[in-house]
Amino acid sequence: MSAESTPSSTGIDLSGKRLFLSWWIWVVYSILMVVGIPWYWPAQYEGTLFGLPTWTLCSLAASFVASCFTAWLLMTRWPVESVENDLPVSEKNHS
Amino acid sequence: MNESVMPFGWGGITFLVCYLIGLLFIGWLGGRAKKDNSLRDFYLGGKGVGMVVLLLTLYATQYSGNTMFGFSGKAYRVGFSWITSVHFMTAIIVGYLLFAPGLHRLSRKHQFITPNDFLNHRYHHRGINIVAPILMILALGNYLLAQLMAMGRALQGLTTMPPETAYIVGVVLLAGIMLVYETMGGFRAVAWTDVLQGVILMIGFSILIFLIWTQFGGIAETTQKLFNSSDADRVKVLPPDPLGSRRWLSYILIFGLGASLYPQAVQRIYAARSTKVLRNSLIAMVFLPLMTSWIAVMVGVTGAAHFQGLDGSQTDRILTIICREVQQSSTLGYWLVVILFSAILGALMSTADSCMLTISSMTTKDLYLRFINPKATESQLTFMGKWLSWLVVGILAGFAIYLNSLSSKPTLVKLLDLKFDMLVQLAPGFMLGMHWKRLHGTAVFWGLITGLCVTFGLYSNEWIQSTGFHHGLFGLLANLIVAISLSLMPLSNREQLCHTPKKAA
Repeated sequence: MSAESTPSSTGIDLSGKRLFLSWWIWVVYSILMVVGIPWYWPAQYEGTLFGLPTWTLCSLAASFVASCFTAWLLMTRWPVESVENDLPVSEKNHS
Repeated sequence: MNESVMPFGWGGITFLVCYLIGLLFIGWLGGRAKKDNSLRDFYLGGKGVGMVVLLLTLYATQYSGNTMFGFSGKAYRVGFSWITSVHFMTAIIVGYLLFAPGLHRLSRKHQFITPNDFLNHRYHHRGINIVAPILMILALGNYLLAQLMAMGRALQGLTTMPPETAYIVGVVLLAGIMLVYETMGGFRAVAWTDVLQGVILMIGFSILIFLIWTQFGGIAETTQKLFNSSDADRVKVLPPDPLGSRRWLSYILIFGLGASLYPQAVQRIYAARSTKVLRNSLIAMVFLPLMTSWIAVMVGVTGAAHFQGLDGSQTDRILTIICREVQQSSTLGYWLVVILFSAILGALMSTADSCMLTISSMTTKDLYLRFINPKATESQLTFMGKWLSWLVVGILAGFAIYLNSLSSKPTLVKLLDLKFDMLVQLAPGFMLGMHWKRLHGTAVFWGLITGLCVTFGLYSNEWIQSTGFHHGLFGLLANLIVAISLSLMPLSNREQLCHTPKKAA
């Protein structure tokens, strides 16, 4: 994705910010949410695994996967910008 | 003796006093590190902070008295279903994906200090410049109030003083210490004390896990005990009903969109020294709900199995009750509880001091400088910001003491919910505005006003409550409809709408 500056009509630079807007990213989060919220378990379900109610473990597993997925997204899709891009406008003009 | 009281001996009290003096010392060091009298230096620590400080200040700020007392109290009331909190604390970091990369880059370029600096830069709209800071100050004021109340309740559980006196001493003493170190060192003092508080908080949560295993036979025993209890307690180990599932979804949405806009967290996005520092801190943050919220849930559920019969705001004291049980069991238990209690104070104070600093920055820069005295110098503003903190905390401390005198005391989670109903109305301005060029200031402003009117207009509506969704989400829906519709309006109609008030004037 381009990181070049193209000021919008409002004067704000909106380019290079859509790092996480791909449709599939939000499909993955939606699936994890559907799995993580225990709406599909029978009301009186009493099964346990490792001492916890099974539905609780399933929900925690979905949360762990969501954390790993988010960490992976941050690692791979958020480029570390150059020092130049981090400089204030005033300092750039001087340099 | 009241079972929610765990009076400390001289050893424990000495440890706590040393800890509080340590906070003051760090505040003094923060003051010595001051580079100049500018707003950026006082409110963001100059050129920003590195990875360790950013991570721990984000951690200590986001995990608060609500996590320790409120989450364990809620888990006591609803049981394992409160692992909702693990999901929604993760959702906050997911929410950052929608705006943090762009916001961080813009903040470095344009030297933003307050969250409203972005809104002003993006929309240049007078209405937004008035409403957004006031909204954020009210939401943060609510949060700060919850922390002050939790400070009072924490001290109630520590001494044998009459509960009302202990509460007042807790609020006044801890708020006073916070004010002193914040006045001395500004953001540096707050962030550096957050490092100490964050480390102790992590140790505290580890101790909690250890205590649950050793003192109460582990989570398996707790689960079985609840399965064998009366229907009212057995429901705490069963999956949530459809209403509970909808509430779960609602919490994920309102935290993902609202809590990621915590003004004090937005300021930490500004304060990151570089993109790499911010990115790496968020990567670490996304795993912390599994190590903090989940432990708070286990504490609450363990309490529900072993200490039945609490209700209402009493349930927020379950952590104190468990601590007292452990404290009396052995010398090791006593010292573990002393450290854990320091962690609780750390959680409360680190969140409260961040709120206080952010309220001060928004009042000074967004309201006073913009609307009252545009010619004020930076050193005048910094001076004013310091004394504003004293005023705000003084008023809120008085209110916290008043609320405690009421017969029906609000629970901590209820106070938390109110804040997000308001903050989530800013999501279109930050998140949509970061990506959609056509979104303009008038649309965001009227969307915001509509969202707030719907949220508060529906507050006592029974049908809304029966859906399980937060009022703020209904407000957000109305907010989005208005903001998007006005932005999509053909340009000629839009110009007419924007200029009508001027023509009328």
